[in-house]
Amino acid sequence: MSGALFDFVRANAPILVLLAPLVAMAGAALSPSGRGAWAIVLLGAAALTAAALAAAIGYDQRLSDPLGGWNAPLGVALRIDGLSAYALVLIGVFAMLGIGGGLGALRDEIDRERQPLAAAATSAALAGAVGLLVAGDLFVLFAFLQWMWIALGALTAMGAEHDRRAGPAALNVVIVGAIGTGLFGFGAALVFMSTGAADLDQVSGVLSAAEDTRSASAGLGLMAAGLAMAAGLAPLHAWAVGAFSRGPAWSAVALGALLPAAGAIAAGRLVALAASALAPGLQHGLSLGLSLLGAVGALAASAQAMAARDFRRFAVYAGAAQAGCVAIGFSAASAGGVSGALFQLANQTVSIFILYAAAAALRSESGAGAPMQVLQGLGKRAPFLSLAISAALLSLIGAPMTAGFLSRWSLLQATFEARIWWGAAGIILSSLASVIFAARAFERMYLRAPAPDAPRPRTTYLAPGLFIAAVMIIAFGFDGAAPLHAADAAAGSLNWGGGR
Amino acid sequence: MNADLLLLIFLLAPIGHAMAIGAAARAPALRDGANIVIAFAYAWLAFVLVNWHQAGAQGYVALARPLPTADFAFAPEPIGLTAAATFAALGALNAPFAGGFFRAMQDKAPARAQVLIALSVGLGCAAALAANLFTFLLCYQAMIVASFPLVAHYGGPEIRRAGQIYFGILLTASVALLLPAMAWTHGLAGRLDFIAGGLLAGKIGPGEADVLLALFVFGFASAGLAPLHLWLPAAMRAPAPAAGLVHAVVVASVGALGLIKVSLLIFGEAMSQASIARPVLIVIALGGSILASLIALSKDELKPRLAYATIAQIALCSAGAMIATPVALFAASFQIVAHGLGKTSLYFTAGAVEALTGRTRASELTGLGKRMPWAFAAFALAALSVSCVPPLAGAWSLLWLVAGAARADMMWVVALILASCVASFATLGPLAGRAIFGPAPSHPFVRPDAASVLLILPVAIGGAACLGLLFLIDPLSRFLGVRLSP
Amino acid sequence: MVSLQILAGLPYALIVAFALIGAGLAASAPNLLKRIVGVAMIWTALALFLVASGVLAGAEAPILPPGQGAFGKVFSNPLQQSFARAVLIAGAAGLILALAIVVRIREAYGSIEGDAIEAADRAQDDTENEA
Repeated sequence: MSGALFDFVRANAPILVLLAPLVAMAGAALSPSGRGAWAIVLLGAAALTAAALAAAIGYDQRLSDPLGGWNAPLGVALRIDGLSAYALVLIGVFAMLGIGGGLGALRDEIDRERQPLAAAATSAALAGAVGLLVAGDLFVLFAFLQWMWIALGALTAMGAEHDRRAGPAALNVVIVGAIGTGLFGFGAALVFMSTGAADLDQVSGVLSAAEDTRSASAGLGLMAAGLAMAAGLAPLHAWAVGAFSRGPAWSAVALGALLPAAGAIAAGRLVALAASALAPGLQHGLSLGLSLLGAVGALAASAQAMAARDFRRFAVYAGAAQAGCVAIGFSAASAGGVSGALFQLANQTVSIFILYAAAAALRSESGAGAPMQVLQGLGKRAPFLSLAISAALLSLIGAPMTAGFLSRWSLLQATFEARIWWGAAGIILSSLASVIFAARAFERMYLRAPAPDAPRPRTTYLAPGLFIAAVMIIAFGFDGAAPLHAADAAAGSLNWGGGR
Repeated sequence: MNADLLLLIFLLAPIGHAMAIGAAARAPALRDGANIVIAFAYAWLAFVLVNWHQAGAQGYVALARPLPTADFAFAPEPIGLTAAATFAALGALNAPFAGGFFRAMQDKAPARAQVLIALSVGLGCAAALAANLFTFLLCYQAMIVASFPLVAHYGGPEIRRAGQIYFGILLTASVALLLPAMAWTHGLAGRLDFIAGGLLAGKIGPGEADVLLALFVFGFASAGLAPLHLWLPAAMRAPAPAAGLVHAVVVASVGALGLIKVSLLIFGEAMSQASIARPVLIVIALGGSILASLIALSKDELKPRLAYATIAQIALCSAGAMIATPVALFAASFQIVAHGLGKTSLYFTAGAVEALTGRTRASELTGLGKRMPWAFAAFALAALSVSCVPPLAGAWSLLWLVAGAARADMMWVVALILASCVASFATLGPLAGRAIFGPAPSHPFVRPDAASVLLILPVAIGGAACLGLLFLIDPLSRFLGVRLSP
Repeated sequence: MVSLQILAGLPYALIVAFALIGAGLAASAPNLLKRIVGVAMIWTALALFLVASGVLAGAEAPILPPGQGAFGKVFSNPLQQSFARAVLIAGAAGLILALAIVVRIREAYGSIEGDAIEAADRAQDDTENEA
């Protein structure tokens, strides 16, 4: 990329990251064939990643794009700070890997004439996730949230031809999403009423000068709760169970890992804003409540993962358990805690992506289900796929020499420093619980004989993504300086608890 | 060749060892031959490492940087090196024995067991040479994972259950207790290195030190402190060469070594801050030791009896680490060597008896010494040694442990130690006596070829070494840097 | 800055109660159409809430009559009203999609009762995950 082009992309990154998936969405919808639509959407994800990378390279500098030159309060702004740059790169990379690997699933599971629409809906959901990260205004955030849910609901519903269970799952996505968005809307209205501002920067400015910030903080809390649904934090993850275990495998592999990450980061930003506006006593209470919520969520989801009989459902629960740990990290309310949470979130994205990709490779001809039996004897049938799954599971446990260890370690350090014993216990216990559910998967993969009629895993398109993700887990386990540094830098742009 | 390279070769050798066995899995003669040769080469490497260390070439290997403040690194120090050399030497003795045992038992998957034994021993040695707590913990956990399939070797629901107990207790304790202890240590000191004088010296207060020490002691569940000792009886489902060398000796000793290292290199002078936890833990260790001996007496099955005897005897290491005077720590380190040698010999005899006569109960051993004189001579020597009867090797650990406790003005500990040794003698001494002096059974052998030399020779060497260790005590004490004159 | 005190006002209490009833329906009604009605109630309440928060006592609608200036007049805040319009649009989009999905569910399952559908799904899960 030449210097001038780079500068242009960097300066306009906030709008470009949004335009890339939106344009791809339009292109895909008009494309005559599924494969063409897929290529366009993949290209959109690549463009998104490139713009995000360009923004991330200068994350010391906040990028702001007041649309049409209208500044707040009249106009709306798109912004990229260190936190959103980090999240955008993460999301962009996994959108590329997931969309790139999902072609087989897309062609198998979705009707030929609907394939372009499915690709377009995927790109739309991706744009919604990006919007959550770049929107600088409460009501734009609101619109993107609803947009994302609708796109995901439509995509999930397209799996109903292949497996009718996708229908109710899609309806659940739309309804749960609407409830969450409604919650968010009430919160936003409350914030607007009490601060007179809709722009997040202005809200933060008003709050730091205001005396009574309780109603605004309550509003921010409501908004964060609405976003936490998107994060898939247990017990708010029922929608994900439907969308990613009964919907098409394509949606799980393309979006399953990254939508919760976007939701978690957007929620974390609002919680941090609320905390910074609160009095110390309330701050402490918020942090305690969040850590408790995270710990309970992590344990409950781990228990569900232990009992899961479907491999994709297992992946959803494992992800929800990780989201609990991320919440604990945010609750530590320190740079270390947020950095640990962000790193943990990245690890979660990598591991869960591998699990969804493996589930897509093991998809059945007949329906959306991928029962745990598909893992039977996989160690012999598909040694490399098993290795990738093993790496993902070990990282979820937080085993040493995987990236998961370092992030859990950072979280543990942060909870110790902040003396959040609940949180520390939650992280350790969820790690133990992951040992149990991972051990069940290991046992199936390596100690049981494969079923005689087991189909061959279809990894043609998925192999590159699986390989890259597995290498990431191991390489960052051996030397985690790079991702740790990135997470630290991203955490630095989040002002948690410094307000008062 | 420099010391770093030698250390790296020593650390990676078990991987080559395992691959060689795996490659020759279908050719029994080649497989056992390769196993024996490589095991001896590995032991030889360990002794070269000791010699070089004595000559001042210490070596340091860092393989990765998984944490910003801790490398995955190895740096030998005398106590760890002594333990590693012991494990490697016992591994060499075990290789021919395992070959003989699996042949005699017509085992279905001897190659897998031998691979796992080699890896477990190698990981135990790696843990002993760790440069910091993180590396130690990683090797310790990897060792648990590698040794777990050995417990489940014979398969079946009951044995799978035993495997779950083994894996569950050891790994749960290491994740739920050791990991927070490590995180806490890191929070206090900012790093995790093993440092002479103690990483936490001057950085920890009284109350905290008590809790942290307890976390460490119970976290190293493989040291067998009650109530986390049940993994060892469960491990007795493993075939004898694994149950003896890997579980009762290497895994248990690495736990004890962890405690010694924590006491000496992590706490160091800060041990004096843990003024409540130390006496309590000593009572748990030694009281548990006496109880374990009593339970051992009630067990007729030979391997579980030996397991409880192991719990009783490895507790002396934990007690020494908690007493924490230099002499007591020396005694604890020496106990790793003496106990390892004695206990391996005992399991060799038990395994040989099982393979040749099909007998697995203590009561069935009566008079068998007349039919298997070499094996039972060694059994008697080893039994006396692990029960700390002078002049055998084990007596020295007892002696120095008592001296260490006395110097720390803990006379009540002296009484407990002596009681524990008497109880320990009661579990094995009379058994050895009955086996040698009882009336000989008429047709004990189930196999026509009687005692294979592969089975008997390691037993005899082990027994002889229990006696011979006597002459090593001076160089060993010099190597460990302890002045033993009062 | 407006404080929470306005919440004491009856309109807000009614709106929030309406939204809560809607949330209860949306989350737990057995009939799928009732769940959608619940969602519609939440969103309608949200639009009302926004509009109500912009109303000033004695103010006019923020429409500038042709030929007259705005000077000396009191308008309600138009910002909330534009937000409310956005809420209505986004809500309608969701409702349309949800209704379309319900039609397809009805075709596939022959029922729009959540319990029956869930039972059918469970049964299908069980046959897949046997052994």
